[in-house]
Amino acid sequence: MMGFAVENLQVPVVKTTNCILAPSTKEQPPPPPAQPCIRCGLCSEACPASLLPQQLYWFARGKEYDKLEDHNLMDCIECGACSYVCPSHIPLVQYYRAAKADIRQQKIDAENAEHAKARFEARKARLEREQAEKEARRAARKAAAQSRAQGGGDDKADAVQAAVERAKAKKAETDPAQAAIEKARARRAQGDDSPATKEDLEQALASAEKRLATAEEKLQQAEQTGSEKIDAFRTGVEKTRAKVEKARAELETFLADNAAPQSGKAQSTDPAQAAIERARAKRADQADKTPLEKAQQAVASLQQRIDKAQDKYQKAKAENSDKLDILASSLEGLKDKLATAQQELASLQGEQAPETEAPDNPPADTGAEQDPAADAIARALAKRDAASSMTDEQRLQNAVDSIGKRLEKARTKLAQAEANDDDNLELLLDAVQKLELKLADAQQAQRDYQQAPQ
Amino acid sequence: MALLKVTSPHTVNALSTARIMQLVLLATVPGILALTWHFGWGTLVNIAFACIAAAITEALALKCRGRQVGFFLKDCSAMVTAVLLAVAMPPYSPWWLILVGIVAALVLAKHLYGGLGYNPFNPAMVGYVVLLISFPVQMTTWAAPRGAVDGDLPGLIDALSALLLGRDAVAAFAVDGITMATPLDVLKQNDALLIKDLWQQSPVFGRWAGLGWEWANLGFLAGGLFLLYRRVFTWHAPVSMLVALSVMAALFYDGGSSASGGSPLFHLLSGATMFGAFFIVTDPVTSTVSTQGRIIYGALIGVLLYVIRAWGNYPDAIAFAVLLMNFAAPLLDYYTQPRTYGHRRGKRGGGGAA
Repeated sequence: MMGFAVENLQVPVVKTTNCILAPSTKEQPPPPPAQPCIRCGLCSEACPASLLPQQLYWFARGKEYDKLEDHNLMDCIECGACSYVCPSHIPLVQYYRAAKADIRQQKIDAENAEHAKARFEARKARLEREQAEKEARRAARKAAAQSRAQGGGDDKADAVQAAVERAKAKKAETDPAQAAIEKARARRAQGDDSPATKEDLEQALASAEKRLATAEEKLQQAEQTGSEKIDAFRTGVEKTRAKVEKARAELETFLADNAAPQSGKAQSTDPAQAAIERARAKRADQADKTPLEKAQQAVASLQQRIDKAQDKYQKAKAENSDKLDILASSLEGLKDKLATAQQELASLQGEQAPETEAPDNPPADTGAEQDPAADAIARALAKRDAASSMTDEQRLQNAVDSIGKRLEKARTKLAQAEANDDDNLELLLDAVQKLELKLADAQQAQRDYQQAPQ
Repeated sequence: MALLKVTSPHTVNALSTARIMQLVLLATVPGILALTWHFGWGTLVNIAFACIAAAITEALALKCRGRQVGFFLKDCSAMVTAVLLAVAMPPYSPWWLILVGIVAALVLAKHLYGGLGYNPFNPAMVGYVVLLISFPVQMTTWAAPRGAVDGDLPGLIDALSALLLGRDAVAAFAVDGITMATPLDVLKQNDALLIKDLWQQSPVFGRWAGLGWEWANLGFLAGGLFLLYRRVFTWHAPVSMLVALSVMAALFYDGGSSASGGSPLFHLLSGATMFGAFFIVTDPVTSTVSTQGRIIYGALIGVLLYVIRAWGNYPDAIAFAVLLMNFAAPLLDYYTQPRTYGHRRGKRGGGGAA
């Protein structure tokens, strides 16, 4: 009773086919025409799912889908018992099938409508947002134009300048060559006399050589094709060659000037070495100068240092720092030094005429000055040599010993300061603590090394 | 090969609407025979004329509605309405009374609502009520039963003459005592005598209920039981109605005093009780859908029946009780949806009858 009518004989028999009915017209007459429902209720007596087929029929006819769902239409198993017993021969199951399909379609349509609505809302919001942004930009531009109109010509020039700079910046983003050009121009405009670094010079040389290569290539091409621009290319090649020569010369002079420090920098960042360099540089500077100039230089440098110390002192006072006393004492020391330097300058200036009478003094001074520098240099050099010939173990031991010695010195100084109630007490305390930490680190490093190979 | 496009199920039951209607007509036969035996030919003449009038009226109505006359006339529903109305009316009624009743029943209460299956009110009862209210005198003059009348009951010729010419024109009806009040009527009018005294005094009272009426009711009871056996309808509505009526009568019996409304047995076997229970209340088109609803429907009809009989204006009240409950049937459907297999309990408010 639950099967379907086969439409033509091509329909195959499949695994789920369990029965084929082929009745004659007498056995199974075609369905009689449906009469009106007399509400007899035989259908609800026959329904295995305890539904009310009568009501389902009326609602299906009236397309009242919500009432159909209330009456549990979806629980109908389409067995056909109600349709079988119906005295009016109403095809009830057909009504239910159609109603079920309608309900399903309605649900799908409702879902699609919801989806479309959501998309529409989102699109509307996006368009509105874009519109609002456009309006905001327009308003901003208008406001800027208005302010410019009120402000006058300067603003205009500034605006133009700003636009030009923006354009440049944009170009620089996209074109690194252009950016380099801009950088060079800017440096030149600022009057940057600082010497170019080695990298800059090398880069300049490389780019010049590259340009030379392309220019020569172009010249070759032009000669082959017999172009009119041969002369132009030739002059270009010559100019580029000259530039290459110039760049090479610059690089060589730079290297020659900074040979020692360059090589030193290249080798190590040894603080001893750095100190040696500084001392050497200072001595080189001072070796060329007269005592008068040296005194003047000393006074000037002291003045600078005093200014710096003064600034630090003011800052510390404002912040109410702990180091106020220390800074005050250092400032006083510097001022004393300045006083003596000025005295010297005065005496030198006074002795300007009888300069030849005391030629030994400046050399003696420089010699005296030289001695501590030379001593320091010698010590540092010796240390470095010793360090380079040491093994790791010896080096670590050396480090521990040296830090230990420095710590001893600092402790004795601290004891002295405590005894004398010196102002530098806190400074010395800090120094002692730092040295202790360093010693601990060095000892730890030594221990690690000793444990590691094992 | 031509294959029919048919839907499942691919076969139908032998039962049809016409068959059901014919069974109902068959079931009325015992009751009608009893009535004819006790009250004369009047009932049969009523029925005959009513059937003819109904057929003509139905055909005309279908034609006016543009429906296939033959197809719709075949389901015999008009016949059933005619028979029910004819039985409900007093015998020896004039033709025009019957005609008005039939027209009111078939046209007003059936075709104007859409024909068979679409009417909310019982057509026979609508016809009866229309007559009762429009022609109260003719509708309340009932014939005397066999035991209560002195001479013979009116013959067939007299009955036909009464039908065509009216009772007054027929000599047989000029006799005094040929018409009598029904037992229910007598009981209603009584306010002085005890029941047992009333029983002895009035001739209309038979063994259990009214003379002749009790046999008619028993005949209709037999017919109803036959229909139950043939599963034309379920037991819920008629049984519930009879039980409710009995309960009400028992509650208000008052020990057979002068103010009593009558015993339960009296009520069950007098007037149109059995007829109403098995042929009016069980009308499927106008009753509720679910069996739960039918129980309540029947019970309330029983209650209303007693109420109107005891305290209302009319001696017999099947028509009014049934019509009132026809009004209430959609509301009952709303609240009595049965529990579908697999669900928790019956849904409330699932929509009423369409």
